[in-house]
Amino acid sequence: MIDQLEIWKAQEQAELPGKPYDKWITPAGEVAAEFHREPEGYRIRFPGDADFRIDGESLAVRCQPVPGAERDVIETLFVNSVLPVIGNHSGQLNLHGSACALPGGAAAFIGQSRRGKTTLAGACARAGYPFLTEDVIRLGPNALAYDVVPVRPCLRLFGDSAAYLRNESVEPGAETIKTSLAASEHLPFADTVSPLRVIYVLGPGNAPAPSFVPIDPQHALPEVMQHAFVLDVEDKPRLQAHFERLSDLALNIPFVMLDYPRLFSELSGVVQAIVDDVAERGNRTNGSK
Amino acid sequence: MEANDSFIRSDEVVAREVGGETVLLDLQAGTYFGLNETGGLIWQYLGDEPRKFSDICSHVLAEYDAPAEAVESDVAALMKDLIANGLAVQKDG
Repeated sequence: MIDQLEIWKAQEQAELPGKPYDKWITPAGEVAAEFHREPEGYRIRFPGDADFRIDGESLAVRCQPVPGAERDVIETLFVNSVLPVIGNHSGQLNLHGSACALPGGAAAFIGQSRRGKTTLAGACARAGYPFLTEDVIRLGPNALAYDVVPVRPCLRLFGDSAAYLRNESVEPGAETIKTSLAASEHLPFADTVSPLRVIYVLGPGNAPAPSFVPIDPQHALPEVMQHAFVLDVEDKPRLQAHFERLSDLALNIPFVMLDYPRLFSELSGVVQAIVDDVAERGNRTNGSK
Repeated sequence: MEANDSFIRSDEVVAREVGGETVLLDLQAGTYFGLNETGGLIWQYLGDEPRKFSDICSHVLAEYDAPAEAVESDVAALMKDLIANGLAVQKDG
């Protein structure tokens, strides 16, 4: 995917004229990305890392990294942020979240930052159920429903989760440092699309045991809208079309609020409960035919 | 609210019927609203041309077997809510 990207010579990020028309803010209140309009299209600025300039017509992307920006960071921004906003701008459906391939089909996980989306996908992989993606749920429509497309054979997660997935002991302070784990024999990656069976919205971790509560489509829609990528929040026709696609998703795919205790010792049980839930949904679907 | 008061949908709102509700998204504020079946019927009727209060009430009365006073009261309350939240606009004349 990175081969679709034209990378220019590194340059410091000069102040841009005018205010951004949109921003992504982290839960800590920091600016993760700024969206600016330019005569030829758009510029997405990731402060301290890179500017991505998108041609408004062709949607071709060129990247201007800051000096010293690591290639892995550029690729992650491109694949996990820039491509999804361009995809949604073009009529595709990309959501922020993770997914894994289970025997009954794909389960996707969405939710607020630090709710455990990547760790859960990794825990599924550790249990032998390949992960499809760790940050961007790329949905390809098929004739009947939606397919989850494999994105990157890599998990980016905090050190304590990485240690758990590697079967290592957790070092003090590891929960503050993000690290990359490549797919492996022990953390398999799915290399083919998988039909989407359910989208789990991860709860805050208050439940004493895995808890599955269905969400009505009318409540699933505002929830999923928060986890979709939009390039131009002022482009009303595209926003309307985006809203329609998400509405269709909310009507056609079950959404379930999933909560469970955030303890590594509980994760294998959570994974089994998810596998059972997805299998039961498959049985219900088959039984209703 | 007067019979000749006219209303129109805000053009900053997109809507879709989902699961028996009409879900409205205010594009400027990024806020969602849900309308029940009657609210959805009124939203559909509002359309892109101004509609008189009396016509909106007549439209609802044509669909539901309900006392006219109750319908007028409910429609007035909904229109006030829609306007207060920037989802509809009152037009002159």
